[in-house]
Amino acid sequence: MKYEAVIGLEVHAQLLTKSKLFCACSTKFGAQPNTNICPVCTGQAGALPVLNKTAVEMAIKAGLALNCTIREKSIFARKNYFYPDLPKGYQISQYEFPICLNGYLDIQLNGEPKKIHIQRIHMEEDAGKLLHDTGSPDVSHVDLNRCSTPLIEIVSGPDLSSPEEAGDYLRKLRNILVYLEVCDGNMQEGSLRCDANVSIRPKGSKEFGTRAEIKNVNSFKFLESAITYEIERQAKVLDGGGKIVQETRLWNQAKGETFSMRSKEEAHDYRYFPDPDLLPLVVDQVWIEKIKGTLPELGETKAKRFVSQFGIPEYDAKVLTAEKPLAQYFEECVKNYNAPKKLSNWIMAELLRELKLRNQDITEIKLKPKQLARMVQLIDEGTISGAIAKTIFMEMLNTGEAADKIIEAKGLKQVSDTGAIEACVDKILAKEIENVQRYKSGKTNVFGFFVGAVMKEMQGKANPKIVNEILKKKLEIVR
Amino acid sequence: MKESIKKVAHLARLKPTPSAGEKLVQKAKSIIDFVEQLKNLDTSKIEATSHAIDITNAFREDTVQKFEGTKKILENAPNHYENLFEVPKVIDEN
Repeated sequence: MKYEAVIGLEVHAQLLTKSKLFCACSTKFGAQPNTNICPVCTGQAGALPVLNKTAVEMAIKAGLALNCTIREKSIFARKNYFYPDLPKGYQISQYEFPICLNGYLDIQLNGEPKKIHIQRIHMEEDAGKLLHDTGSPDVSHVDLNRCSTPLIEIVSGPDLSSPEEAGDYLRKLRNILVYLEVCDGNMQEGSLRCDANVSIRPKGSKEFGTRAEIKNVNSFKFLESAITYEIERQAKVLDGGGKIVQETRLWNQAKGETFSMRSKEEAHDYRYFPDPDLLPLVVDQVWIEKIKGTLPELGETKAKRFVSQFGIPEYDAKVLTAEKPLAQYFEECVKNYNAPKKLSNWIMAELLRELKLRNQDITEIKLKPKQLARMVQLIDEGTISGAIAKTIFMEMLNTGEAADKIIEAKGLKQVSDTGAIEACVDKILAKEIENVQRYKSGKTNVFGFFVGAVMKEMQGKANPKIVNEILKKKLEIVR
Repeated sequence: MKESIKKVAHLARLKPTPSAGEKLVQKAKSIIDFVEQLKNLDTSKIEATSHAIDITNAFREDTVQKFEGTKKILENAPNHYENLFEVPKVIDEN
């Protein structure tokens, strides 16, 4: 392709506070419409905003984790525009003096590290929710529950050059915010939203092309598809001798294309000015240091530690640290039984598959880390076979019972009693005369068949190692 | 000046009559002339004022308190449908 893409992302993250940014209304998602509203967030005359301290601390946390400078003094500004989801007629945001600036985030694509500049992080309040599907072409409905919930907007530099890089950046960013516990990262519910500024220019050119802004992309997949489409669309326009128009576009997943968002409202001129209702926010070094002390170990650092401390492969470490609760689960398992690779295998292969099938979260399951660790220990000690362990695992996952109890109740203990196994082997060999003949004639590959038959006869409980030994011995004799 | 007044009026959703508009232009002119005088002062060493009172940091703790008058807020709006505010449709979905 003769063009290169220039992409910057603006990410809105809803902060995990209990109450709104400037009033005491709950921020809980999914409440009945317009039940979490008050005079402040609905813009009643005379109502005054008071800043939520926890929201400020969360914004600072995000800033520190993203290597930003925390501004000593920042100011809230009014962004003025008329829209029905904005009852005050302005959004309280930050403009010239945002709380964090000049950070970066390292992404890695095809093994190549790349530094993505973060221009700024500012605090602002969210707008309400417009419902257009009202059955009437003339009216929209408005739910103001979300209005004034705290957001941070994280603005990247125009440093991303492909849909994959944009996806990787957003994934990394989400991971960090979730680890910090400042945002739940739920894109479907809109706690994490992304706007992408996309432009193209002839390869090697220094000047930027005209950009289109793709608004409200709510999944990683949509983000990558929307950017891919947009790059191709702009290339076609330029190749056809046309010009790119600076505009806002939306992604239509069903059609697989972006389309221009034409609003009946025109001419945005936000006329920002400092909000006289809010005092300047001053963050001193003592406060910053205190917050620094609360920063948790982030995913990337944790993954590196898992490799060095537990000796598990890098791939495992990456999967296990993708979500903080999963990393905690794994670490808790290892604490109870020191067999990191085996535990990692069970978590990655069995547990994650089941979670996906059941559409469950690791925090919701009955199977406790201690129980999984104990089960792996029982395999190692020869109490149960690996095959039986799968049955026990499912039972534990379904009921939350301990492995020992399940083994006891269902009689699943591995049989290592050579006498019992020998008797069973004799029985099988007596029954399978033809196969024994085959083995004798040199077709030793029927050996596996015998093992299977013995295991089946003993309902999977026989110790496979002992079965192998006895079978070998017996077959040598008949030969 | 007239164009600026028109634009600001549009942004503020005000529709002044032509005669009122003319008055506004005159008034705006005198206000701007008055403020223009500030240009004669040397403000290079003065930090921009963002707030009239010289105090900072008024916070509230992150606690939830339910407002009991939500129904009244809904009823105060020009139109509402059940527990939703109702407004003229503003977006052209195509």
